[in-house]
Amino acid sequence: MKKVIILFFALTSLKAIALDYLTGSIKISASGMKAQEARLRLVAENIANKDSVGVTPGADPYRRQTVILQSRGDKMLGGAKVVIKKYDKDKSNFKKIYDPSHPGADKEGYVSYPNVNINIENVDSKDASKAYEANLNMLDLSKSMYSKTLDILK
Amino acid sequence: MRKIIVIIVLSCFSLATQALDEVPNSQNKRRTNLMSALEASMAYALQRQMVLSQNISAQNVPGYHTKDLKKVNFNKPEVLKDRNIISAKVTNVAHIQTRPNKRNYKVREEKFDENTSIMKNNVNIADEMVKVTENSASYNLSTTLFKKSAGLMKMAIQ
Repeated sequence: MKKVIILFFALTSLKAIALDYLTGSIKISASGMKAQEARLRLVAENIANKDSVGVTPGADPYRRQTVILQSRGDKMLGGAKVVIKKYDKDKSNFKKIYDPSHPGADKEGYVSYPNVNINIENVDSKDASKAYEANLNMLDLSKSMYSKTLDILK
Repeated sequence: MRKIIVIIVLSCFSLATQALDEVPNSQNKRRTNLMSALEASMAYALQRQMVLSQNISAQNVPGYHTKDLKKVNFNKPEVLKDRNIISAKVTNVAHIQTRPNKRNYKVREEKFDENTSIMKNNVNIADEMVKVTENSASYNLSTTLFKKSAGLMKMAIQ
């Protein structure tokens, strides 16, 4: 009888540890996925707006957006999640194209085009999707470890 | 009523852990030692999984340094001595903070020359994936052995 109690409590305590750490790692992976989603969303926004110019003379066109990520400790979790610190704007110069017939052209006939570089955006989107995949794999692995733990209880 | 049940369960658990220490038969003691070693190794793998997922999720965070757990030798008796303590679940910051009911192995931060990276971040996905695979293999091994051990114990009980 004593042995049964020992076994039961060993198994339940193991389940408790697994619950704590594995849910923690699942949440951390999910936070990473969310951060990469935000990056991908911004890439989509930047690419979609790569030709959005101002319609009044001398008006500023669309400015490329960036996201700044931060690692923030979570006491409840016992680890650090990834959070979006802030959405920032790329402060680089706009491209100037000579087009006097454009309604957005300035006095000298130049139109400002967004500072979006398609190549940079492509690389950024590839990087974000790979990072998303890595996080997803991690989540899958945590899930399989969880089911392995539950298998012991069977 | 719920509180009473919790108290009974906690007292039973402390009795059980005491009983684990006082198993008279040397063969049984060896088995319980094996099981606690396996349990410790599983707890280690679970905590390492969390640290590694932290590394992977923070691969684009500027200034982040790779973290990993310090290596532990599970043959040492002092590693096995550190038993789990069941405490009240804390779900809110306002709750009374008790000792966490999990083993905490030391986390070390890898040092590197920050000038080698623009983002001052040294997370290498390939390295992390190797560590993750290694960790999950070791966890699978521990769970299988634990299951076998528990099966033997159950057989003995029957």
